[in-house]
Amino acid sequence: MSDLKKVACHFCHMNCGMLAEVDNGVITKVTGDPEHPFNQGAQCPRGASALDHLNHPNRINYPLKQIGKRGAGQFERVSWQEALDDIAARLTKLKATYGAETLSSLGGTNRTDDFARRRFFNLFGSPNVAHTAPVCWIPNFLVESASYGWAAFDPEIAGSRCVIIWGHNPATSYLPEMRGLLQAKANGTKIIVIDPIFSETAAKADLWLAIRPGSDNALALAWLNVIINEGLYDYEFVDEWTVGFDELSERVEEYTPEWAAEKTGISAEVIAEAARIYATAKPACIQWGVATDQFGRGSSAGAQARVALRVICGNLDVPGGDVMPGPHPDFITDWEMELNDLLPLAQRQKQLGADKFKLNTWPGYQLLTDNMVRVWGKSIPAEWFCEANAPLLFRAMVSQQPYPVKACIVLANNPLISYANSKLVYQALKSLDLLVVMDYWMTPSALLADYVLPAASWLERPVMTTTYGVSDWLIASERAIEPMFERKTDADFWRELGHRLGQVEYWPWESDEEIFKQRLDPIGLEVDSYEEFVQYYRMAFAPREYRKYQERGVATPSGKVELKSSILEQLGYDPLPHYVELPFGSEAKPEMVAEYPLTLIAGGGFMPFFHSEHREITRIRLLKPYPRVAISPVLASQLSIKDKEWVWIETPTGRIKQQALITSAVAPNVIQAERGWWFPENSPVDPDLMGAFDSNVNVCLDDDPNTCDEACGSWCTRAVMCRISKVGGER
Amino acid sequence: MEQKQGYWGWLAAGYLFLAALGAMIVSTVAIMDILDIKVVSQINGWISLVALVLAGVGSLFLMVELTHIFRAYLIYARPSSIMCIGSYLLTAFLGLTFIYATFFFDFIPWAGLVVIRKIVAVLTIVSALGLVAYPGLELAEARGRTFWNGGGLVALFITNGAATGLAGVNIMLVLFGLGVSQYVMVLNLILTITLIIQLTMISSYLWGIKLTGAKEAQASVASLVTGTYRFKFMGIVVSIGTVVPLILGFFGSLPQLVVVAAVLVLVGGLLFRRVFLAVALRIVMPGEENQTISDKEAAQLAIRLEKCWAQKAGWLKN
Amino acid sequence: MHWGMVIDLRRCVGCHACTIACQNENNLPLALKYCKIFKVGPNGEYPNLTSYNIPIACMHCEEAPCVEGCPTGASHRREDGIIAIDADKCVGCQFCMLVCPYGVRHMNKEAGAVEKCTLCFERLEAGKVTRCVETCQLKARHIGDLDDETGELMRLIRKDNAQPLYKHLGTKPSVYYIMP
Repeated sequence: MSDLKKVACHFCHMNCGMLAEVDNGVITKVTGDPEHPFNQGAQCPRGASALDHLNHPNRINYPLKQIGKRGAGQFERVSWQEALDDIAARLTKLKATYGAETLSSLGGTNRTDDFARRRFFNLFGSPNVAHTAPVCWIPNFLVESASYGWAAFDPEIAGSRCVIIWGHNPATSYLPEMRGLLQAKANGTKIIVIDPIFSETAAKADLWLAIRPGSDNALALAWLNVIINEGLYDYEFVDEWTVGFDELSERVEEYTPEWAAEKTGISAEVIAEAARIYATAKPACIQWGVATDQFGRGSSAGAQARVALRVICGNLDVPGGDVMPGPHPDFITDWEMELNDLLPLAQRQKQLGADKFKLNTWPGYQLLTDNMVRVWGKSIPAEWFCEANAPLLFRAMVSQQPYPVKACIVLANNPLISYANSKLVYQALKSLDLLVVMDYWMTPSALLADYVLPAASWLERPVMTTTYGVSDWLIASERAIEPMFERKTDADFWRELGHRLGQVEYWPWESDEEIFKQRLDPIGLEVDSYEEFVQYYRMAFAPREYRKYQERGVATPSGKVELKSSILEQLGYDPLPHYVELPFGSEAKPEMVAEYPLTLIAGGGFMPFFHSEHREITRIRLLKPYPRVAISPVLASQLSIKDKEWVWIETPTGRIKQQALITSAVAPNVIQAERGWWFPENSPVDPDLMGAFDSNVNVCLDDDPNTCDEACGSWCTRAVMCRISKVGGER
Repeated sequence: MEQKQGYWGWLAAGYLFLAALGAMIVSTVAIMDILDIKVVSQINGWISLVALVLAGVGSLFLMVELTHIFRAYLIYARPSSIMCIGSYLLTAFLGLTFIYATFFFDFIPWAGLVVIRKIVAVLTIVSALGLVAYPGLELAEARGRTFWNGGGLVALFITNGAATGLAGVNIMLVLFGLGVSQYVMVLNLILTITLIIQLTMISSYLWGIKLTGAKEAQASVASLVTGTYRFKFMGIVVSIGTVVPLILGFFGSLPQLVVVAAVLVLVGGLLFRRVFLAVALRIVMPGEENQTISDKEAAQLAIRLEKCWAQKAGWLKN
Repeated sequence: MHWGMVIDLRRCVGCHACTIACQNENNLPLALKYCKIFKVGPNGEYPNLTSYNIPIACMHCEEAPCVEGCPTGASHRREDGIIAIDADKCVGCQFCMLVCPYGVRHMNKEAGAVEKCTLCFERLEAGKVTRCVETCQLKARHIGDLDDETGELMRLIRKDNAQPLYKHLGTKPSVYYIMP
């Protein structure tokens, strides 16, 4: 019997639709689903390797218990029963000794159903759930939410006359989006890319602004200056729907194009001309890019400037502009599943970072939620948008300050590789009394765990795509097969652990499908099962409406779009856009320029990998066998570095090596190192940990909370002073 | 760099060398036969057999490289392909040479039929020349390897083949005890002249490419003259294999000198085939120089990784 | 019928999806690629740069040196224009690899035969597109009939002046590129 299952890929956030051919319970082929709106039948190299991932001999298939010293690489197979019983018993004991907040969790990007995690944590009583959220979308999203009550994250590129791609390289990270962009370009949309690197996307742009790393904020402020001074803004919208325009005008007066030229390395004329192109091409949109979330101090301030650009140019929630979806009116969102109300107030206050990074923790989240519920009826999920700050969390693990964090459950995440300051993360994970990792692979982080649990991947689980619970649409996909071996979904894991910890009544479901079915029921379609929905409907898009503020109002305290944000003001932050020096740049630390004359860009997505994943898939790996650091030919010849030679990359925080990639894509005083590198073929024994510290760029990055973004706690991965030198002798 | 010609290596070069050597040895003695030179009856039988063995060993080299040796007969299947024509020529040459050799052994019934022998001699020479010439045409078919597209390749191959053939005959004459003879004197003189022609032809071939050739052909020339193959080409093919024996030729035909010169010519001839095969770079694809990893490295890494995954599976209790 | 392909280099971002999908479709040895992608550039001086990616696989030439050169008839041109290899006839002499100007032929040591892009003729015969066309997220690849003057492929070739790579070699490839 051959079956065709509609599944969704988890190899990045895009969740492209796939079709799996199943023969007697065995998947024989996985191809792109031509009916899926994103990928339209296509697959990226990872998606095309789906079966290699599913059947890889090194997937974790059974619960493993560490029996030697942590990091010694000695595991024995145990039953789920034994593992969960022991984990539950130890959590009960830790909670009794240190309080519920002693349990923390680190999550990855979108391979899990995190509403289940938050549900478990709210019921358990701990607010200390974290992702890499602060360096991925959250500063932009939250600043937007504070300003206009949701994020305008759905730019309608197809109908736009000008698209700004800001610190984003969809040509390597979001291929379907790139297709849309090129299609728009072919139809006459002007594409402006802002990037210090001549990226694959920049190569296709009409205009590439080769900006000095980390100076994006200055550029945005200067654009505001030009647009306001030249009167290029949307008078009507500004008058009718905003507050704080006068204060904004006054504020940006000092940020002239000449001032910005010095910071950005782009001439004042080009800055002004680009501002004019953007402001006069209506509708236009600004595509979100992750780079602007990764400046550390100043990430939110930059987001404030971009918010103002969108707003004053009249592009907010208009066709072809920055469309703000809001929540789906009918289906039960992640937020509704999380049971945030059950977390006691006293526990919310204990959230690590709640007193420092207030926008991304309970204080800010509560304000946003109150406003959103008033206007939309629903809020954004606490997952991602209300989290413990990871740098503070790691410090609490090590120092037990402000209180001991003794346990951590890690899902779909490899914190040793994915968070800044890897050596500190290492110390932190080793300080724990209990570390549980649920993953597809034995990662360097998993090597330090007491239990490593086998996770079901996307062919073995249903997937419901709602863009972290904030889109007004959903796309539902089914599982192709039951999980192989003893792999489980994370919802199953939380349910079964919850059952052992007195949460039985809150976990009434038997399967992920049951949960999803319940969430879909309010849509009112007559389907008997989740799978039926997938087969016959697959998606539910709320009717597209524009300028929703006209009928609903704006989900801010004033009911208007706040160019001067009262929420930020209430939280104690500067409510207006402003310039902030990046923490590790030459501007902030001129005394270090002599010793560290270069600028390191430690971020950026690159094909064929997703974050720290896919190094085990042989064919994928052969495309990019080793980490490469992009070095300008000018710099390379100064230092007599040849292509593919191993090069040390050093910052005051740490040192790693990568292979030189000599390319004119970077400026002569800038290097870009690839992130996410570890070597599954290397020795697993501590301190090697499969090369976790050899080429992993996070070894070089500092996450000192005082250098993090004031509002969201984002650490800095861009524009970090560094130096490079040839590695003596060959590897 | 997959641009390099890594498909036909030493074995193919060995074949080209031995086939040309055998062919030109037989041609030399067959011409002597046609010219009614007396010594022929004494030496031609054995020399032809030696040539037969040389060319035979060469064709074995060719066979060894095939992945499916038992279907080797298929190389006769498409007479329109140059390689197929080459196979016919090789087969014809081997057969004719064998038949020609038989005329020189008294126990063979037709040993005395001189006229027929000379007709066979002519046929053998024709097949031999074809055999020496066709590789030049064959390589010229590689449109993307412009180093071989020079018009002089066939002539160059014949010239070098002639030089090695003459050298081979010289060595055998010495072995036959005819080292101090007018034959060696004359052949040595012809060899010296051939080497002068060879030197001129090589130079003009390379100059021609350098002046008018495509980029990759020029790179090939550079690699011969100043690059990777500098030692093998300038050092051995040109200096030791051509210039030195050429100079020795002016010092008369002392048997020892003749043998030394001949051996040098043979060594030079083999290397000549080798470097001329290896050096022909394919036209570069746009961006090909930026390839992350060569095919060979990738294949090795794949083996290493797969081995590692297999080992790790047990550790992970799978 | 003459199958041909147009590859729009304005769209290709060099993601290698076609490379990998093709490897899986044809069950190739891990390191063997029918289709490679090369990144050209960036050329110029920062920040005045250009760069593009170019996928290279068998060009299915009308005057294919590999077919002309194959002594056994293993390499042949089908009636629909596709250059195919009959593995049962290949003796592994590698002459075709020597003469192919595009360097797209590979010795599959496991099979002992030379292999290359088949233009997925089995898929085409079944009414499907080639695997590389199917998997391309950027829709940079188009497959169609070069004999059909009014067809989509010829329209594209005319509209965007698509050209074969290294036309001067005279092999008359069936793969056309729209240059960036």
